[in-house]
Amino acid sequence: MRRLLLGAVALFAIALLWEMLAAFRLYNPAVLPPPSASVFALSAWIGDGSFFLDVGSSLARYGAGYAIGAAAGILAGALTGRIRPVAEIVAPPLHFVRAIPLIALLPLVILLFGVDDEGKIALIAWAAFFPVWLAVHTGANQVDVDYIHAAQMLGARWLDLQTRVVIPSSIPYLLNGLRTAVATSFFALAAAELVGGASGLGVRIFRSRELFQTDTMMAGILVLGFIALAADFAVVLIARKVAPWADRARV
Amino acid sequence: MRRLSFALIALTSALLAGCASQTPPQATALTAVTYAVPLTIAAAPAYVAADQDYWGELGLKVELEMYNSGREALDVLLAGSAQVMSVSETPPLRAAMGGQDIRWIATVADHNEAKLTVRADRISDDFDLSGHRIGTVAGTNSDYYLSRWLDANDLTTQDLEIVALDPPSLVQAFIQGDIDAMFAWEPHNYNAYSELGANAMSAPTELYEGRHSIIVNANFPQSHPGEARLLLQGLQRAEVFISEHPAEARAIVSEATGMDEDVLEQLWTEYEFRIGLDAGLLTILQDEAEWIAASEGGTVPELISFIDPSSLRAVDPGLVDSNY
Repeated sequence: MRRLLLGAVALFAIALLWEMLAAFRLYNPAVLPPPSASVFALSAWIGDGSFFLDVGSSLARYGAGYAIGAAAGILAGALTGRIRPVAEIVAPPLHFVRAIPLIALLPLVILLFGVDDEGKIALIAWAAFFPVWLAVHTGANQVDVDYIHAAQMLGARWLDLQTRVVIPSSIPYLLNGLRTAVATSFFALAAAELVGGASGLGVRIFRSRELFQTDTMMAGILVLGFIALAADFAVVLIARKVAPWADRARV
Repeated sequence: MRRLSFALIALTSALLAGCASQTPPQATALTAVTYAVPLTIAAAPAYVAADQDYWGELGLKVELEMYNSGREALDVLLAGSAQVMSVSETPPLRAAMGGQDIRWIATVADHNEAKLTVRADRISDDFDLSGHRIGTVAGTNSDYYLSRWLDANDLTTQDLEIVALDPPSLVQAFIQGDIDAMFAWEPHNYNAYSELGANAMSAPTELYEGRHSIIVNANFPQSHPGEARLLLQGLQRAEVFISEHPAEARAIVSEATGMDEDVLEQLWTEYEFRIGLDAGLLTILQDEAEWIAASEGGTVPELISFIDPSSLRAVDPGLVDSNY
């Protein structure tokens, strides 16, 4: 609670300071509007009905991309983490492509999927896949051999070994991977919506910039930030419920 | 809590330091004028003036900074990191209507680069867009041209599907067939032609003519009248050079923008390089301001107040229309 309070105080202080800098025109507030202008813009954005459409569109893309990417990451991580020949074949190319910046993939994504939602979801799935894959791969690969030997001595069969030793040992890694993927997927969402589209938070942010509606642009950035923060907290809370022994994700 | 206080103090200091460098320019002596220029054919006079060192010959040091788009260059001016920038009229008009204290001091090119380009396999040569998927770049002069086109053809946005995209994605989507037509400017239209050949065709441009505008912060013509005048004189010399040596001018533009010289030769006729402040500028600004006010709310301000003719008048009073 104390940490939460300190965080809130810090945010408030930054907002106050920013407001003062703008009020005294120590910088050009039309280029970077103060928080109060963003609040008014947010209110107008909600008022005209497009806010919920933008948030809904972004969350739908995000949810689909994250789910696809995370599921694929778990499957690929389990395979490469537990089956050495698969890892030897698959891991090197995956390590190569995961180093490519998302923004550099945009033209390719448009080429393959077009400018509609499929391409945006594909980019988000791509961004979600790698942290999850790497985490699960590492987790599955690094199960303590003493645990495996102990289970085998107690008569555990292959399936028991997987469900009672390997998966529980990998869960902390998986949760960390899922949490990292929350952030990387939001990066991808913003990059994907940079292309354009009918609605979406990223679309609104970039379009507002073009239209010189910098107050709406800032409001969009703040909303995106708060949603990303909420998603991160949600993953941490779920992690604590699902695997209380694996509290590595604590902030 | 103490650590938090330190962090806030550090943040305050950093912000104040950052803001100090962002403060709009004051009336102090300039060692050099920074000119933020986009990569566009319309900015040819700036490239030529720099290449031929016309400003240097006039005793003015100009640092030309290149940006991918006029919108980026305008941000640099607004942030106080450049004293001059140039761009087609739409972005600065939006900025001025949004309360930015900027001024037009001249225009250096009239152009017809904003066009409607359609895929011939989707839209016939009557250019009937109803029911089709049309790409545009929100907030730009091509977006304005789209609205003019719709009005002229008795169409509304309900009659077609408009997809707002960034410029590179717009061309890619057009070439791939994700959209049936696009309102875009050069070199995007040309790039589409290059890929699609006879499957791409453009409608004649009669509804819109743009102006590549020289924009400064409002106090610049008064705080630095000498620099403003010399800057325009350099551009004026560049336009004489462009008129007399078009092939050499295209070579300079090609080097500055990376565009192929053959491409430039084909597009060159869409630009008329002439420095001035004519009555047409005010008409264009009025039409676009009405479009902005109608589509986004607000009222049309007194547009003549956005234009400061003093610097160009000091160069040659004959270049300034009597309206100003």
